[in-house]
Amino acid sequence: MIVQIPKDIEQKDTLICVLCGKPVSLENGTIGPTSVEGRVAIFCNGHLWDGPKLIVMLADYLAEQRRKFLRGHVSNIGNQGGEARDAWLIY
Amino acid sequence: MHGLYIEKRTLNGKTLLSWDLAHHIYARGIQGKIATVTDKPTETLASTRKQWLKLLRQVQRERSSTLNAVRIAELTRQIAWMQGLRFSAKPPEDLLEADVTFATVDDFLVFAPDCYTMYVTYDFPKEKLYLITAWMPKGELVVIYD
Repeated sequence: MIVQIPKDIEQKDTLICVLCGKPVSLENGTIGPTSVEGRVAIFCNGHLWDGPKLIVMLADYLAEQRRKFLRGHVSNIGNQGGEARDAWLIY
Repeated sequence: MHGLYIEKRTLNGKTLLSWDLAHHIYARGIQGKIATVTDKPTETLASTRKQWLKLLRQVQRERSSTLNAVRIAELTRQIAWMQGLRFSAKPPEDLLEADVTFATVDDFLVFAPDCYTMYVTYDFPKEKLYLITAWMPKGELVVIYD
């Protein structure tokens, strides 16, 4: 259950699980890694209970984030004002 | 704990703390260093690492059972990350040396951890919690177990 979200971080009214794409409430949500856009990923708490599904869905999500990061990084080359992306996507 | 996400997790009778920790670390741990506040650092480390290795085997099984090249590449990265993750129950003296550090709240009070995720697994005064979370970057996560 997510009980506090930083006040100065903008959050959409409807939270969407990044793994299954379905709406998720704060009561049923859990916090994951930061996305390439710099937003914290929220997903259904229930996914943590299903090991094989979690592994596959998380891998697909991380692969997609990495693809977006690389595409953004390539387009930012030469752009002095480009935003720094999260370090975990580089490894 | 201004500027931090706070998540409360409840363990039902069937779930072990170490199991839940391992799975949450798997989902979130790639973000960066983790501090786990526990009253029994050595025991919690041992049980969590055991669950972590079980999860690693599951990931390896998934990798060997899929033909999706993108998924295989990502799972390969994850396996390398999971195998290289360092656990420590040594009280931190300066910067966190290990990727996942287990210590008591009094150990962390000596030097507030600069971590991206903190797991709080037992009760202690809130003032101490505010102190040990003071160095966490904005927008990161504190998980509190009931």
